[in-house]
Amino acid sequence: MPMKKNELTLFNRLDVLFLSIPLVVAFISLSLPKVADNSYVRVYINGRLVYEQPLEKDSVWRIESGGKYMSTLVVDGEKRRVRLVDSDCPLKICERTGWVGSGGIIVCVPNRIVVKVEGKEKSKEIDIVTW
Amino acid sequence: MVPFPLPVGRWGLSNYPVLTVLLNGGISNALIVLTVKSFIGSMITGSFLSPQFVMGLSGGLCAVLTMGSFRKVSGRFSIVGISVAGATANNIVQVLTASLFVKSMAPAAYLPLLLIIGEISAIANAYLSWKTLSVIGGKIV
Repeated sequence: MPMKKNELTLFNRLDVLFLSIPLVVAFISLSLPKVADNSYVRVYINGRLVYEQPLEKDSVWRIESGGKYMSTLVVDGEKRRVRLVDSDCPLKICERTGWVGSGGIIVCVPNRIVVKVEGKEKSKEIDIVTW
Repeated sequence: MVPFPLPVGRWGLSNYPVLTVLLNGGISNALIVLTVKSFIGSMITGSFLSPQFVMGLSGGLCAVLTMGSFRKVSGRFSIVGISVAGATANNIVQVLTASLFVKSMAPAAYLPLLLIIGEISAIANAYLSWKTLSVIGGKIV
């Protein structure tokens, strides 16, 4: 195609700056140091804390809401990491997030589930289940 | 090919027709393609009105409006630049929409990886659109 004056090009020098902005933001946030004393696994449904346990304790917990099975939380105490398995959501993004450790977050949007590995004990706030 | 599932979602390569139409037919035509794609796609997969549908449509609408705005100041931005701007807007809006669903800012944890993957897809989409318009002899208006 002959180049016309007002025609768009596939790539130009301004793109280098442009491409770098989201990448710089992404890499800076990925390289931020994680807090080491995050030792509690918490499960929130609809923004409400429903489950809490120490990261050191091996366990498998079925996440249910209103009698409906949604997903299963697996805690690997030895390696201090958690993941969601057997989720009933369509895209399984929560499962594909895989294992997360200290400071990690897993989200399952269809089930409104948020799993966090964070801070210290606050089990008094739990309204549904305790370990 | 070995399947390569992403930990944070899908590649978003189906946005390339939207970009192609935007470059060739302007914002209004791109909005029509996006909306029809969103509705038909979600009805086929049964995800109509699900969070996935709402996130996809809201992210897509913001992407088209962003790309259209960058397009208006053409001469400065290339197709790759426009496409990357759209992908970035799409990812930010999808994360915000997800945050409304789960009533927590936790989905922001996915944003860094989404931005990186979004750039790869955006460059691929830009190339595909550019190539398509060259092959069919479509004018970039």
